[in-house]
Amino acid sequence: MMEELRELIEKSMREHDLPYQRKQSLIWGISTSAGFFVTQILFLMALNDRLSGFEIIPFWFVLIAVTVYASRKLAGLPEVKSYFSKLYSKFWVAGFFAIAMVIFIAFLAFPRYTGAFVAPVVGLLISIAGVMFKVRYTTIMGFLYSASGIAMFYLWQYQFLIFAVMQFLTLALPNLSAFKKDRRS
Amino acid sequence: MSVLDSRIRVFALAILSGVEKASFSYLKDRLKTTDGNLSVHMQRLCDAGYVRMEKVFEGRKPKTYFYITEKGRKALLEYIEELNRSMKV
Repeated sequence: MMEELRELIEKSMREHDLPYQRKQSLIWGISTSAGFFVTQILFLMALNDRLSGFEIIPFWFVLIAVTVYASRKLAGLPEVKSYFSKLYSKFWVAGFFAIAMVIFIAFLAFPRYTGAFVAPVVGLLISIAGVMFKVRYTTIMGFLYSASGIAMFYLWQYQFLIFAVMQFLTLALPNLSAFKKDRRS
Repeated sequence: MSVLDSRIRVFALAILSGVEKASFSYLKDRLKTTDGNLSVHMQRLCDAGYVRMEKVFEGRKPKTYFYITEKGRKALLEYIEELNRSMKV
């Protein structure tokens, strides 16, 4: 009885609603990769002086609002929220703050190479998430995401396209079957 | 009869002590019990003030979440201490 209780408590503390997490990853992966793809088109148009480039900002506000709504509607609510999930959420809040800071600094210092500075930070966070969940694919994709910063440096005109591909490969591709079958057990 | 005389109630409390919140279906899966059985036990825990219940809507479907209270946490700790003591004797 004592051993069973200890196991129950320990398991609960590490619990995470993976089916829910996979649905969220798929929705955000598709939405952000589509967003980066559109951004790439707008960016190329801006480079050719056919747009001011500021259209990108309201576009992302709309995209994020739509994605938040869609993720609540489609992914529903998590079955369980453990202290590990809480820690994981806090990790991403801190991560997004770090990404925002890097975007801000890189954009002021080297606007052309913003992607090249942001990608290694995003990749590092993804790798840490992969280690936390012991998912080798995510850990490797985190490293590749970081390495894609090099490609973004040399191919800066296409940095958003690289972001789109990396977002799709990291978040959407491994979770394509997330809605096919409810694997909650 | 004490609230923690039932194995399911003790286990439900143990699960809730490790999480911030858990849904009814999650508890049902973990405890491998039926809807009717679990709802009776959870009601007992709620009545004793060991657990707090929250009903939310997921679209049109209602979803029930449970949270452990301070009183529930204290009761579980006391139960574990008692169990430890009895094992030593």
